Amino acid sequence: MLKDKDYIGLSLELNLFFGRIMKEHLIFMAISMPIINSKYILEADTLKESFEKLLEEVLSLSKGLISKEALESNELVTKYTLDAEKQVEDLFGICINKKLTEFTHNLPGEKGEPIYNLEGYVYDLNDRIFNLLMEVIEFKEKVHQEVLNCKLATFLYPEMLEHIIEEAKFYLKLLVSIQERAEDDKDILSKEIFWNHVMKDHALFTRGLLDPSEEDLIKAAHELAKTFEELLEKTKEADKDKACEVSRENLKATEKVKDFNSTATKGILSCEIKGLVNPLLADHLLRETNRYIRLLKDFIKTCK
Amino acid sequence: MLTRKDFIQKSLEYNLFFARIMKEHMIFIESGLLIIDSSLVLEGENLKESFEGILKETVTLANGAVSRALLNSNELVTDFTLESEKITENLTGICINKDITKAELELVSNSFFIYTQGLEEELKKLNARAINLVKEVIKYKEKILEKLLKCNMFANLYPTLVDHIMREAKYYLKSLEALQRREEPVKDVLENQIFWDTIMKEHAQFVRGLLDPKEVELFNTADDFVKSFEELIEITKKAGPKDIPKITKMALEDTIEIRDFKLQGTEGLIDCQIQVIAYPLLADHILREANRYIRILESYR
Repeated sequence: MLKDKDYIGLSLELNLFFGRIMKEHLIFMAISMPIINSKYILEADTLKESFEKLLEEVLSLSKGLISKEALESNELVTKYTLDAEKQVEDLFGICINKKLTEFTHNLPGEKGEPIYNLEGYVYDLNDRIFNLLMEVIEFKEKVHQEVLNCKLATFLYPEMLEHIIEEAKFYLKLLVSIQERAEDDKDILSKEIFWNHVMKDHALFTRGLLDPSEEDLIKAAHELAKTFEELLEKTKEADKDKACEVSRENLKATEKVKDFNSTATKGILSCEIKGLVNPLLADHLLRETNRYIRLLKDFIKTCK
Repeated sequence: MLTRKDFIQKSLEYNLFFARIMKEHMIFIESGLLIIDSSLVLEGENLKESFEGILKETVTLANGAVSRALLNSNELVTDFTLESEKITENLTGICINKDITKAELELVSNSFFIYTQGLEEELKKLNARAINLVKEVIKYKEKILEKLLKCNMFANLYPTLVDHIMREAKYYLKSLEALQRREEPVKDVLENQIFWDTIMKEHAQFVRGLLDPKEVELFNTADDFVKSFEELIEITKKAGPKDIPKITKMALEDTIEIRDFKLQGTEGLIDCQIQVIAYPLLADHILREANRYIRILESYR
C-alpha cells in the first residue's frame, strides 16, 4: 500500500513522463497521415490538445514534488526537446505547446515539505488521464486496423502503430496499479522485457527511416536491433536469481542506445543526418532510453 | 544518324516509357509532401498533368508504330498498373488518369506500319515540348532536394530518392536531346549499365527501408540485392569493351532476380499481404524500370 506522499510523487512522475510521450505519439500520427484522412488528423490533434491540458495540470502540481532522480534523468525533457519542438512546428505546421517544455525544465526539485490534501486532486487527475488514455488507445487501434486492412496509408510503419499502442497500454496498467495504491510490483524482469522490446523497435524504425546514404548509422541501428533481440530472449528466459546479472547486461546495451539516440538527435537537429526521422521523434526515443536507464540503475542499486 | 523509322520508334519508346515515369514521380512527390508545402504540391500536380498530356499524345501516335518487343517487355504498363493506380488514388486522393493506362494496354504493333514524314514532324515537336517540360521537372526536383538537404522542409521522401528521380529525369532529357540530333540515345554501353545498376541498387535500398520491420525475410532479400548490385557496379566501373558480354550477362541475371522480387512485391502490395509504407504504384513503377533494363540488356546480347 502506497503512502500518500509516494502516491502523489509517483503519480506525478508517471504522468509527466508518459503524458508527454502520449501527446507526442499523437503529433507523430497527425503529421504522418495524408490530408485525405483529415478526419483522423483532426482527431489526433484534438487528443493531443487534451493531453497537453492534462500535462499542464500535472505540471502545476509538480513543483517541489518530483524526485531529484527523475528530474536529472533527462527522461522528462532533454536539452534538445525545445529546439526539436520548434523545428517540428516550423516544418510541419503543427502546434506544440512549448510552455510545457519550459515549465518542465524549470521544475524545482523535491523539498521534503509535507503535502496537504493533494491526494484527492491527484486521484481525480489520474482518473481523467485514464479516461483520455482509453480514448487514445481506441483511436490508435482504429488507425492500426485501417492500416492493416490497407484502407489507410500513413508514413508510420504498422509496427510503429502497434508499438505506440503497447506503450499506451503499459502506461494504462501502471496508472491502474497506482490508483489501487499498489506497491511497485517488483517484477523487474517483465518491465525489462517490455523496454527491451521498445529498444529493439526503436532501432528497427531508425534503421528504416534513415536515408540510404547514412550507411554507418544504418549499420549501427541494425546491430542495436540484433543486440536487443538477443537480450529480449535472454531476459525472457531469465529467472529471478539472474535478474541482477541480466539487468547489468541490459544497462550496458541501453547506454549504447543512449549514445546512438543522442548522436541522432543532435545530428538531425543540426541538419547533418538525412532521413525521415523528425527531430522530435529522435528526442522522444532518447527520453524513453533515459527512463529505461533510470529504471535499470534503480534496480541494480538493490543488487549485491 | 538515325533513319526516319528509328527516330520515330525511339522517340515513341522514350516518351512512352519516361513520360509515365515522370508523371508518377510527381505522384510520389505529392504524396510525400506535407500540406504546409501546398504550393509545391500544386506545382507537382501541374507538372503531373502536363506529363499526362504528353503521354496521352504519345500513345495516340504510337499505335501500330512501336515494336512488338517493346510492347511485350511490360515496361510501359504491366498487368498490375491499372489496379495499382486505383488503390494509390484511393489512398492518397491524388487524381490519376487511368484512361491513358487502358489505352496503353490496347497498344498494338503493326509490321506494315508506314513511317511518314508527317509523323516524324509531329514527333520532333512532341520531343521539343517534352524537353521543355523535363527541364522544368528537373528544376522542381532540384528545388525540393535542396530544401530537404538544408532542412528547410520535411517530406516523407528519402533525399536519395529525390536525387534518384532527378537523375532519371536528366537521363530522359539527354536521350531526347540526342534523338533531336538524330543520334542514338545510348552511346556507351557500360556507362548505361552503371546508370541502371545504380537505379536497381537504390530501388533495393528504398524497399529495404520502406518495408515494415516485421517483413524480415523481404528485408534480407532487399539487403542482398543492395550488395549484389553494389558489387556489379564496382566490376562494371573497372571493365573495358571486351568485358561487355560477361558483364551484360551478370547484370541480366541480377536484374531478372530483382524483377521477380519486385513482381511479387507489387502483387503483395495490391493484395494487402505485405506491410510497407509505400503505395502499390511505386512497386509497379520500379517493376517497369527493371523490365525496361532487362529488355535493354537482352538487346546487347
